[in-house]
Amino acid sequence: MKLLELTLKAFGRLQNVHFSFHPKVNVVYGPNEAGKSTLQQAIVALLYGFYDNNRALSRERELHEQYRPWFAPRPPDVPNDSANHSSTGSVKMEVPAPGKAALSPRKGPIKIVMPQPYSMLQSSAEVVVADFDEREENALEISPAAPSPYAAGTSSTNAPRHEYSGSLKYSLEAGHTLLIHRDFGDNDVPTQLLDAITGEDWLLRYRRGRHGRVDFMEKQIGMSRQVFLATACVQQGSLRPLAERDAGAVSDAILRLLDSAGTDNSAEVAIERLEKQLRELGSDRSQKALLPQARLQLEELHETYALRLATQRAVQDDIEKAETLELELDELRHTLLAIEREMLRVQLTQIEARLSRWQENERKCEQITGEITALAPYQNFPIEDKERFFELWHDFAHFDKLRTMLSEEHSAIDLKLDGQLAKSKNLHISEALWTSFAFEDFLKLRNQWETNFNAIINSENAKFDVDEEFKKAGLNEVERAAFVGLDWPQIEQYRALETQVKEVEAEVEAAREDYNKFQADTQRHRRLAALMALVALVALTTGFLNSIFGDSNSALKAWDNTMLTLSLLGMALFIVFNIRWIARSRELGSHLLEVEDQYMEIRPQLQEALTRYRVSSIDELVQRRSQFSELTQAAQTHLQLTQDLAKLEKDLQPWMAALGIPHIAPETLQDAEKRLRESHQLWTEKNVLQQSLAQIAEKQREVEKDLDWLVIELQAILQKAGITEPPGEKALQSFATGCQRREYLESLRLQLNQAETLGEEILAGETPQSLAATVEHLRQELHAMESESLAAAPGSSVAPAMANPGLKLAPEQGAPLNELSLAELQRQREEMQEEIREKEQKLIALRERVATRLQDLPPLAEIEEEIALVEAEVKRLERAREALELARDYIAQAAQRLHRDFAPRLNDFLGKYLGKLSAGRYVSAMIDPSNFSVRLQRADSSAPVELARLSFGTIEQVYLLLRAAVVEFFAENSESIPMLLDDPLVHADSERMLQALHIIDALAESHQIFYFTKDPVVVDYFRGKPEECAIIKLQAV
Amino acid sequence: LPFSILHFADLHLDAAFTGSRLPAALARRCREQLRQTLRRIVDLAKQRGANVVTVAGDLFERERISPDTAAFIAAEFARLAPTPVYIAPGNHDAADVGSLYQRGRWPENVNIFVSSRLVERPLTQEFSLWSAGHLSPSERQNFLEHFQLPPADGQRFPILLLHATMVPSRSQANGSHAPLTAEDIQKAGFALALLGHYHTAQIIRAGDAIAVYPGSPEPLGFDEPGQHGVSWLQLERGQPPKIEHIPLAELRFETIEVAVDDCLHRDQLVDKIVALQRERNLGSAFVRLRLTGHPQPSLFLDLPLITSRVQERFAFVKLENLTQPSADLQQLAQEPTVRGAFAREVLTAMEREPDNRQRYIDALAYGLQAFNQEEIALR
Repeated sequence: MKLLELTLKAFGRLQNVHFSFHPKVNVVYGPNEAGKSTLQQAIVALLYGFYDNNRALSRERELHEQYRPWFAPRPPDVPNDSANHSSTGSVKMEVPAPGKAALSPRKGPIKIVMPQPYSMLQSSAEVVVADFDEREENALEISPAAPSPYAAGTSSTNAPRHEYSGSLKYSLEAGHTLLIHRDFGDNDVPTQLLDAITGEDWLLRYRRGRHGRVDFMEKQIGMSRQVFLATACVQQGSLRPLAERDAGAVSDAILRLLDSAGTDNSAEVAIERLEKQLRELGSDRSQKALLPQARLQLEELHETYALRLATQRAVQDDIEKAETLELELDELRHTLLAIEREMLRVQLTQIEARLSRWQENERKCEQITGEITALAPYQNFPIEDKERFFELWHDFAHFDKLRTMLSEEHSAIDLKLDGQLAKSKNLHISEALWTSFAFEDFLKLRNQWETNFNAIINSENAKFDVDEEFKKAGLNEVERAAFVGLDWPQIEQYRALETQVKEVEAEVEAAREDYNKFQADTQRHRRLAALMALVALVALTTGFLNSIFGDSNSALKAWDNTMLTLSLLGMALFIVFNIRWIARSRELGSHLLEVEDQYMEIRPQLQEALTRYRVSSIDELVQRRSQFSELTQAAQTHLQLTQDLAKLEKDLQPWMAALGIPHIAPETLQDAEKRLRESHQLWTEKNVLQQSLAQIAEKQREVEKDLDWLVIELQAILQKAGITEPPGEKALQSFATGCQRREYLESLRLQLNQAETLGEEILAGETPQSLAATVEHLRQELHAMESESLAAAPGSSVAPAMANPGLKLAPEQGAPLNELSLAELQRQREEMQEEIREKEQKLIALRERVATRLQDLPPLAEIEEEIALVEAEVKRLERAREALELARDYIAQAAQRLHRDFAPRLNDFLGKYLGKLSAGRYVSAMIDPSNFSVRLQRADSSAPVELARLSFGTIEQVYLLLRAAVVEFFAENSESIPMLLDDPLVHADSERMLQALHIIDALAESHQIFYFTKDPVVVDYFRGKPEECAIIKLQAV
Repeated sequence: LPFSILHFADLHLDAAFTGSRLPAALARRCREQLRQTLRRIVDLAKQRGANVVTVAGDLFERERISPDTAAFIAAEFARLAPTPVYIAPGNHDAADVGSLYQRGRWPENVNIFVSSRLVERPLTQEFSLWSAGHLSPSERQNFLEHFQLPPADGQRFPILLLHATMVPSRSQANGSHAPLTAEDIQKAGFALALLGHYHTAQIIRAGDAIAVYPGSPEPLGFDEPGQHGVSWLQLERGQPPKIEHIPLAELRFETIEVAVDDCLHRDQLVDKIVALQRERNLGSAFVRLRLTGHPQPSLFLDLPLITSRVQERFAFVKLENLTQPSADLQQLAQEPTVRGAFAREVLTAMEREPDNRQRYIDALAYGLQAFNQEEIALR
């Protein structure tokens, strides 16, 4: 794109001016306050307008107003934001000074400077402002052909109306020439865009907005106003400070350009700011930041909520329990009332019963008193003697009966005694006998005598037998005498001798038999030996003969030799056996002789003993000796019995004499015993009868004595009782009746006493009147209570819809109340009261718990509300975090991609111009896409050089190139962008200035350059290239 | 004299004001206000001499009701005696086992419908009330589905009292609490239905049948703007019912959009809000201010700070930042810079994911603020 012509009717201090631009370089030259910056601003304003959006920002309005000619009329609808927003409310108007206003928005109050309008002439080539610089002789100076009707006067009073408007003609590389016209005087900035050739209205092709916004530049050169200002417009002296700071500042500036068109932060800073914000929000790890704090708070709230809910449920349970308890209590109280009522009733009944009982008792007392009066005569009856009387009477009756019995018994014994006496006389035994002898002695003697007598008879028989036996045994007196001297040890010695004789005899027999047998065997053996010896001899002989006469047959010789050997052997054996047989025979013979001698020695001893006692063997001797001993013993016993019998007979003699029996024999003794036994019995019975008679008589005496005493005693008692009859059945009857009456009287008195006591007990210290009063009082109380109970019946206050059917007041379990005793009722009442107390305490505890449990906890709704608040905050913060992260990530991605794409292009661009710039010293540039640090490759060295090591001038030039590169990059797909350079090298010395101008000159190959300067060096430089540039001189009028 | 009914519903005593994000103290005040409203309702019924008071559910919130409030309700209704009060429990005050309806002590003049089947309560010789109650918070049955009024005996005019959701058709009832249609009411034979559940007052007519939603007597959040109160009905045999909506609410919730385009700094915004408050008399209202438009780059929307500046002028004020990024996004997207590429890519993503539009707008706002040296204000 090339700007061709600019016409301004009025814009800031410029009025009615027209400029034609060179397609390459346009040097706008003028002193300070000459309007260079106004011209720049006019170009930008015509291309883009003052507003970026439909909404007018205040700074945009300020800028718009800044270039309004002071004499130009203000449209009535122009809002004056500065005045509106003035805090003081004063009407002092402050507008920005024209001329020096920066292209970027400038804030803050500035003083009004009355602009000096320039008088400018339209020229086809150059605009020359007279009297500016006399030195500029070469400059084509064009004087105004005619004074501008608008420039005629400088006085505001005389000035005609100036339009705050202008137009700009430009061409596009596509071949179109367009004319843009804007009327800045109107708030809506009416704008025209026409094809300068055909007159076609191009506005229709673009989006139009308020305040003259048409996006034709964005579409045609691909740059917004902001980007255009940031990249294509280089501000006055902006290169040097950048270069002087450090090379990093260049990188930073380029990055800012690239990232946000230079006006704002770079992507890196933007990301840092987002990160900072994210840190403030907090990650999951940092606990102190906003989001974790909010989450923590939320968690705590949820816990509180859960606790509150649980507590509330528990309290609800408690409330339900309390309500149940209340119902139970109502029921219990009702029951208690019923019990108390029943107690009253029972009390009443009891007192009524007491009264009734007392009256009954009174009646009974009266009746008893009547009976007592009737029995008054008996009141002194000696009832105290009753027992004594009856005891005496019992004794009297007993003794009377005993007296009769003794009398009868006495008569019977007398009769029996008479009979005994008669019997005893018939026995003829003197009674004197029984006084000196005892019948038992007689019986004893008699029995002994009989035993002895029988024994003697037997022993005499035995004696007879012994003698006979002696005779039978042939034991004469001599032998008997021999036997007397033979004791049993001697007999045993004889028996031993006999045994020895028998043994020796047997031994002799055996020795003899051995000897005889040996002799017979020896004979047989000797014969055999002799035969063999003979045979041997024959054989020997034959051999011998044969050896002499025989042939020399070897067989025969051998036979002969054998035979000879056998013969010699037989002979040898014969000799040996003979020697042995002889020895054996001698041994057996001597043994036989020895035992025979022993036998002959002891045999005569035995024979002599047997002969002495005339027995054949020792056994017989033993038998005979035993017979002898038995017979001797029997003879001695017989002698003793005979002596004893004589003594007994002597003792029996007196008894036999008393009975008149002359001798003693078994028959007499038997008779005597019979008579004595009978007499002894009679005598004994008589004695017994006589003793009985004596005893009875004694008893009779005693009984008589007792009876006398008893009669006296009884009579005394009867007399006391007023009974005149003597002791007897009748008197007894009278006494018993008296006693009975008196006892009944006493019992009546007792009953009376008891009844009186009972009466007192019934009254129990009260009077019948007071009891009657109590009855009346209780009746009234009961009545009152029943009325109250009816009124307090439960359920009456509960609506039918809400009544709880399960909680009706139930009657007391078990027996009906009226059947229970007062004590039982009292017990029940106490139990009931205790139960009520317990339940009341429980109820109080429950209510206290209900009241206190929720005290420290906020209501559920409040917690829910707080949760909702915090949840919303957490969500808001989370949303913000997500969005911040999203923004950060998108920016980082975009930056990375754009930087990566742009860095090599910058390299290329720099390389293209570096040669020219450095006269071949630097051949290429290397830009790091991560941070855009710049290094240059020298032609004479392999090592690249950091930008920071180069001179300020070189850095400035590189930055200028980089700016141009950005412009080119941004306008890559569209037109080439004109660059407006506002004295960018104002601080450079002349040498560096020249170097930079070379660069600009080179850039002009691809970009139309507008160089605004007050430096004549620049004019001089470009004056040397008249075909490549136009010099526009601005001059203060 | 006509038969008069004071009908209300959805008072939600002891409710939690969670939806409106009210601070605890304010929410407490609101809850207190709900109680005072019940008192005013009772006063109104006494003052106007209502023959019957009907409550179509959600009188309180079952989970949150305190014993104090329970006693308060009973006492207030007792104050109405002998005027009968009829309550049809709703989903928030369902008459399940252990609920206040089942175990509480109620005055004799209070009648509660604790059956899920419609039952009749004669009101006078001329009118009778048919009603049922929610027995669980998730009652989904249509109370009128198989219901038909017994053949008219010509004695009493039947009135329906229910806590129910009116839906256009049964097929659209999915998930609603006790749904019913206007046709259901008509077909069941009712000419007048006193309903509750919707918090906005409305009268629905279907043929000869009229369904009256009195709305909530007090609004419970920002989603319940407008007037709130109770319904006053006067019935005469042979005459169409006269229905009057009596505003009673003391609470007022308003949502207002405030454009911030012309505010260079926050004081201008504060002034604007103050002017708005004066102009619309919002001093006692709970106000949600939605900031819209494209803020000036200089305007830092520090919502807590701005809220603190204006909060004393309202009962409650809450600011929401719904502004758009200040730049012309389309134009910005054409910028060849990284910023332009960022805007371009975020806008593309936003088109791709329209559901996350707000997230991308926020990201754009944050990103541009980060680029543009503006303070990054959390939205």
